Amino acid sequence: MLTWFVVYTDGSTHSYSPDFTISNINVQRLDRFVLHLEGSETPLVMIHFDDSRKRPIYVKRIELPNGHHSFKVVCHILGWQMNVGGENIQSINYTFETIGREEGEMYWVENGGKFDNNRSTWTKSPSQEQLNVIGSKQL
Amino acid sequence: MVATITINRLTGSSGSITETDITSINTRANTIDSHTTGDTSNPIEIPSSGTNYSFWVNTQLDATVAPDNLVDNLEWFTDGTNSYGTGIGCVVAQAARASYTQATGTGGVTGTVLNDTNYSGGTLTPTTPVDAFGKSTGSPLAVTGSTTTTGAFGNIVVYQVTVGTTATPGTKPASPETFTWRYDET
Repeated sequence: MLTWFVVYTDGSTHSYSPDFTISNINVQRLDRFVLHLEGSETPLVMIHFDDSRKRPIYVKRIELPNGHHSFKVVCHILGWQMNVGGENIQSINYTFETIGREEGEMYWVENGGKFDNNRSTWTKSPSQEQLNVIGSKQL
Repeated sequence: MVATITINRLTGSSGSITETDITSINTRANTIDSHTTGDTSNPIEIPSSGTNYSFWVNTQLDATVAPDNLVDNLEWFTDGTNSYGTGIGCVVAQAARASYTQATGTGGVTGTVLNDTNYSGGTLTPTTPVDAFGKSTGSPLAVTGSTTTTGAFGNIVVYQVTVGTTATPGTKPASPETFTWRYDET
């Protein structure tokens, strides 16, 4: 199962836990957001916040098991948004994982530009409420 | 914590709803108001004229472990292909939990037709249920609701199988139809 940690500009790392969720991330100090396999710190996806205008995006989109397959499909929607010359620029990674797949778990990454409600169900924009969660309770 | 979300089938009277976890399994749309995976003693009778119906099937999401922050953007969809066979269809609508209405009808024959009058009048959306197979991954049913805590949440998705005179006997389809729930979580 995939999880994440963040690296702040002072080099400190902060891993996901029930006491440190994305709402607790200090987005002003964010340098890297790392998605990795639980139990391994080798990054699967690393997003660099190398421009102070980049605002992080992270929401999970989940398909529950159904009568045909007994595993969940989780899409980690991870990326950034910034305004450049009045234009809303986005870069989004769609990192997919299966959870509970008998033949072995699968992982794959897709990358796209700004959210596109017409392109696919995965590239649809999360709600504004979800996009506002990250950093909303920063310590 | 990462949320644990299950799919429940709701049966029984509105004053004492039975919630059965049907995540990962099948549930029969037949002519009895209870969850079964293989019951064959309560079929839908093929009508000599008109249409017969399954008892409608009430399903709803339930957070057994609360999300860290928020679950929203609830969606429900089919594979987009009706595999029931000739004369058989499925319609779907949604309703608030407060308007939950127990499925009724005549066992072994037909359920009561699903419409806004029969389902706690004035609460079904849309008022005339639509073809479930028109709701696919790219154009799902957007289900009203969200949660930050544990417990059942979001609207009930209620569907009903329809059987016309041209249907043929047997368990339909041979391989179950797949209905899927999707949501966003932080």
